[in-house]
Amino acid sequence: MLKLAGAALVFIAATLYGRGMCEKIKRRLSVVTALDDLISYMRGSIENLRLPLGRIFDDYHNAFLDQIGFIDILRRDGLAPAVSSIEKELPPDIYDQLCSFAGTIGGGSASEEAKLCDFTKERLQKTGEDMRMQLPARLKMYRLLPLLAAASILLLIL
Amino acid sequence: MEKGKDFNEEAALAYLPGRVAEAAKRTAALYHGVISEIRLRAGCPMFLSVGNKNVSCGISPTADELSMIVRSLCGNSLYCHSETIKEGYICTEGGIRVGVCGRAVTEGGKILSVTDISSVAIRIPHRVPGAADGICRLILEEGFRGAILYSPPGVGKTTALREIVARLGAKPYYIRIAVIDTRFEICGSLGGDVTFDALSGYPRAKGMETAVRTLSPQLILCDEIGSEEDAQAIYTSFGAGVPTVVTAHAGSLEELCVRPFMRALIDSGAFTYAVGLSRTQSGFTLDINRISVGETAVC
Repeated sequence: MLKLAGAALVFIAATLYGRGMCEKIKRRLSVVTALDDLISYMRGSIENLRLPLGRIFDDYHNAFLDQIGFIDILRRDGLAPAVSSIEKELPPDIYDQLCSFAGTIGGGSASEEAKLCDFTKERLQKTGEDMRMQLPARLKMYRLLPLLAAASILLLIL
Repeated sequence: MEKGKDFNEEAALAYLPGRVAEAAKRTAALYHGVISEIRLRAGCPMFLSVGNKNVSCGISPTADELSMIVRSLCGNSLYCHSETIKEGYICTEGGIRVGVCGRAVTEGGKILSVTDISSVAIRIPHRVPGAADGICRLILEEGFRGAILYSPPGVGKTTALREIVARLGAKPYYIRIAVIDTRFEICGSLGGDVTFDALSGYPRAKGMETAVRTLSPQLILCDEIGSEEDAQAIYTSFGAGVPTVVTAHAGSLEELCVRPFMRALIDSGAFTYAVGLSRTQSGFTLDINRISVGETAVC
């Protein structure tokens, strides 16, 4: 009986972990997609309207980034602190790229800024595409994880 | 010069790094005056214009600090100001005027960009209520065609224009004024009850043309005219029956007429008055010269 209860506990724990991981993957993808949208907006505002960064950040709206508190930090402290606040939500290479982007943007001519936006957007889009392609397989893996874990425990104890 | 209510000194000092701003504040306090200009040069002592004096602050901003100041003045968005930096200035919020110079990158005689900015002159606008009342009286005269205000740089031509807008754009006059604010210097610190149409950032000639065509102004104000194209636009505005009040750099009426296009403009009858400005403690002293239509021997 105790062995069955232990297997059930492992199953529940693995289920919760799997769900957590699925949520994390989806959230990471949402963050990458939202940042892609932000950079597109920045590019348009810089190239066509020559708006200063402060004004661009004030005008920009995105429900997801607002929900995770990114927009508040962006408007209050600027892009670098805002990116830093979501470090854990980003793949390391994208985080580094965004830190470099945040440190550089605003220091050049409009055409240089547009190129910088394009380069960063390209990286974000590629990462987003990779994540989207891997998403079904990863979700499947994390959904199967609890069943596999429980079955392994049962096999061990029987 | 007395403190106006739209005082921008704090706003200007906010652009400076802590130690530089503190030194400026300390120096201004020593001289019991209002800062009208802050001059920063990389590796050289910082100077302030307090009242009519130029005083050293005893500290020298580094090249890095100067670069930080420029970035801060641009709101961390140099791309917004790259065109005006090529022309030698940065416009900030609140009408604070910043002259800049550095190393120009040129091609075929044209400036492509300016890098390594080595000097920054921050000119802080001040409201001087009532300082332009004498000019306003001239504008309100029957048959007023226009006026050209002249003085050497730094005397207060732009301040005079700002005070004209503040006076005539408000109760009880509410004159329809179009302000060609090419460098964002005039309108930034105006507000409240003052009514005017601001053509901010427009090239002067284009601004005047747009104002005449679309805004039916009763008066056009334009700062620092300096080309034949500007003169042509003033003449067009005069031809359309809209008086203009413009400013130009000159130490005297004779100096003003040295430039042929200026002389032609004055001779054309587009102005009723040429007014020389000189600064006093409380405002301006006006040297009013009435110009007769077709008068050629004015200078």
